[in-house]
Amino acid sequence: MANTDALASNITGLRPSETHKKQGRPRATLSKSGGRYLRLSLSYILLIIGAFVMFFPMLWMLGASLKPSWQILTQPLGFPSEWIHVQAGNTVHGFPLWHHTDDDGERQRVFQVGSRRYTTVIDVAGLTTMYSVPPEELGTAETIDFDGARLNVREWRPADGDTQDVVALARDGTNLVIAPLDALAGAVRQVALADVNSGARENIEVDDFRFQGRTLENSGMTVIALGPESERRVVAPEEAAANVVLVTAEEVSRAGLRDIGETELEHYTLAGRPEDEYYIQLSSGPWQPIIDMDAVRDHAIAIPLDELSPTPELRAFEFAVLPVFAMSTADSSEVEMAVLLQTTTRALVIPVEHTDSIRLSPLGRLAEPFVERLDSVPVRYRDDYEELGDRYEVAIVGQQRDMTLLAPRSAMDDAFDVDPEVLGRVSQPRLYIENYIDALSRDLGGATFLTFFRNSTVLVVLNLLGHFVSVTIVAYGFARLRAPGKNVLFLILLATMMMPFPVLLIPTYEIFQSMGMINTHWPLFIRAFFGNAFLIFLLRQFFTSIPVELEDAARIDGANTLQILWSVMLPLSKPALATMGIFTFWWTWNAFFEPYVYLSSTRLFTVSLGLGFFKSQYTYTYHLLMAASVIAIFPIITLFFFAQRYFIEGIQLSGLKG
Amino acid sequence: MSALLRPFSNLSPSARREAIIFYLCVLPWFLGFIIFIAYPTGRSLYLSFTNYQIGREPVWSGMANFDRLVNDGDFWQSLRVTLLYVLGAVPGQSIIALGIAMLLAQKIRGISIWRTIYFLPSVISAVAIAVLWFYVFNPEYGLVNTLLAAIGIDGPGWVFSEDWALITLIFMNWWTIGGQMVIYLAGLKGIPDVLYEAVEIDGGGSWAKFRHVTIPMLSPVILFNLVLGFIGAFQIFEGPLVLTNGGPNKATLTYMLNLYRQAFEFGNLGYASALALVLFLIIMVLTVLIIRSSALWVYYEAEQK
Repeated sequence: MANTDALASNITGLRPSETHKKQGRPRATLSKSGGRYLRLSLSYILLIIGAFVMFFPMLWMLGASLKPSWQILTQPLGFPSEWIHVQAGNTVHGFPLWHHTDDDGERQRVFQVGSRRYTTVIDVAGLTTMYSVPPEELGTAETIDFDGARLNVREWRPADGDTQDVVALARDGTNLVIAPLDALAGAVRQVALADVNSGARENIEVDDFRFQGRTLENSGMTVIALGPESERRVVAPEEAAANVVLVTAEEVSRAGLRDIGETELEHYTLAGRPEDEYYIQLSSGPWQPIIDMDAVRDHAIAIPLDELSPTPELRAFEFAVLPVFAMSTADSSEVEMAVLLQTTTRALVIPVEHTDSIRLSPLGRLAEPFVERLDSVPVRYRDDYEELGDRYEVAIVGQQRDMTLLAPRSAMDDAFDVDPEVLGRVSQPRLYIENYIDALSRDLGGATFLTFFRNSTVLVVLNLLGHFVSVTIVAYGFARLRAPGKNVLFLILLATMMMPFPVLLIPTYEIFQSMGMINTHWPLFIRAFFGNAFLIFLLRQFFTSIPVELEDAARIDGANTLQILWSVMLPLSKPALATMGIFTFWWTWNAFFEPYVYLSSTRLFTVSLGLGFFKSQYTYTYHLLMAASVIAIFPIITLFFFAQRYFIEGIQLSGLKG
Repeated sequence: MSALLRPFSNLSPSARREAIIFYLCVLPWFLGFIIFIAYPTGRSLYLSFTNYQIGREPVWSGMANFDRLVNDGDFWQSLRVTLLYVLGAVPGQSIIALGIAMLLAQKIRGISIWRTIYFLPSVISAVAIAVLWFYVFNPEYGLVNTLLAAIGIDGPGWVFSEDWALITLIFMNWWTIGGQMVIYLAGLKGIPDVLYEAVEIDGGGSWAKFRHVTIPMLSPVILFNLVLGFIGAFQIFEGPLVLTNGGPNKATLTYMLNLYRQAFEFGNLGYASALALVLFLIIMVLTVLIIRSSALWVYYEAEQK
């Protein structure tokens, strides 16, 4: 500790003027062997591996912050991507697209048009060997693929004899009737559940064992239904989506299960169309009338309910149906008005000439709307409603309507069914920048991340101010002035750097409590005005390396201590002041423990504290959590990239002081 | 005070004036030292012998806090967790930092790029690292288990597993070696090439250089990093709070986390002061032991003179 001046002079980077740089000696000439190159290559490999470990998690964090939530769970290493949909005819609805690779290895894009359940059955004619055994001799069931079908297979451990795989077929009193797996080869079939259910029930007796069976209509085969059931998706090539039409649900009626492509699906007919013109129902559900929010804000007016005509006429705007009535205006002409919304006392109406933007939207896209009051009528709206790739601000008006998406049977010739597991969603790269907007606008107990940013910025500024005022003066005293007791005080200063803070925690808390400063920002900056041991030491070392002669000149001119500090020392100390500022920023921005102890209102939280709080609120919303983290570390990372040498020189100084 | 004042009266007027200016200059720091360090240290010592509930007055209770501490399962658990953490984190961190510094101390191209990459994690706040680590070590879709699954290994439950949570914290500490690395690098650059050449002339290889030049010349820096790393590791708080909140089943209940809970969640300020005092003593004793032991392995050039 004693010889600090000599140590400080080792820190070339912090000198006012760099006098010399150490020249690397050409040692390579001494041992220019192959071993050296081998060692160097090995070093590079190790460095690359290390750099990967250091850097990749951060890159991954950045990637995750730009992903949609589904991708977090399914593609941890994937590039941020969005799912692609195919537009359903001329409607605003889109169907998810899936990749399907057929047996010839050809890849095509398909969408789901329905589903079909299958089950496993045993052809009774193929049953040969059966036993009746107590259930205790059987292990637990495990589903396996067997002969193109799925079977629940159990292990049978007979009291005497070898263990073998068996299938349980039926009950026989308390016993189970089982058949060895090997004996079932050729008897197992995978058939549509609907076919089994529509088959005639039959009591069967084979080898004195009784079964409940069914006779299948189309093949005449008598079977025992075993399960397990499985669902296969019926899909069609994406081109088929072009023919989809939107109709109201009441126009549609069932027409029974019929063959389609290589599979079968429930068919439907449409009112007003020929009986033998079949349709496939792709989806059915409530749709909601919407209108552009601009039209509502500019043209809609609220009127008392009694001004409404008692018998408004219902009029269709595309598929949306709204009441319309004639309202007389000031100049006694009549204007047709459409009723958008009604409360118990008032109605929001709009002239029919401004209703061009009324259309239907699938209800699911309008979840969690905002509310705005227009003439005291609450209007629910969304500002990020997406329609065919464009965004709109739309108001939710009128009554929901049950709608159905139909595809003509004729467009479905290429439909087939597949195991859902072989399908993968079609996606394309896209960066979800909106995650950041989402993370920044989330409500965190009456505050948002922007509040935390403002708080941290204010605290950084106050701490900078405090350190700048106090540290420079104290450091100057220790660097230049002589007085009794100076060395003792300097040793105390150095010793306080090693002080473990937990000991100070509770009394310091008491002090701030007695001053009413708990849950304020005061405890987080006021001590900066009393200096900081490390920064005082850093600046003192720097001041010591500045030649005294420069000061003497100013002193002869009659400058006092503060003037010398301000006009001679500080201008020469810019690198040290930069280091000081950067460390202050660094500590204040990253501080967690003290804000955690002193602050309880979220509106006062700093960025670090806020990030911890964000994590406790949105623990598994990883894409938002990572976006919040990137926002929180962005300022300090940026500062590091631009002012790296000050970080590193400051750290080196702390290391060399020991 | 009189000891300070006596030489003061012997000073010449100009020297006296200089001394007064000095005292004025260091006054802000000295006030801060008295208010925020000296007084709290004494006060903390007193409070550890009191029954002091938050919002009430402290009442002297003699050794009661320490009797309670000896029988407190949470205290022993937190001490065990913290010691394991220190033993895992500090030497590992030192070895990794020294290793990287030695790689970088060679004639490596793009030294500043490497240094930036290795230093980067150390710039980020402990909270942000803990949040990131919480995701990286998610057993189902975290980075680590995804990569392990790619090579056919079924990764553990990490932060959700009693056995692995503390190890995850230690790994997290190994990730932030930037500060130590920079200090080692500066130390390595300060070793004169002549010493290595001397070993070469004597026919020594890389190991001999490492063993007989690098380690002795670097030993003061190693000591410094060990002591600081060690003091820091004993006080770990953000990581276990944000990553695991002390769990699962207190597997990461570190000393500071336990102390914080006693003080600010249960309001036992007196008992928490006693915990702080014990932590302070443990750190002091171990630091003194390390520094004492350093006489055996730390080499100071000055000794040779």
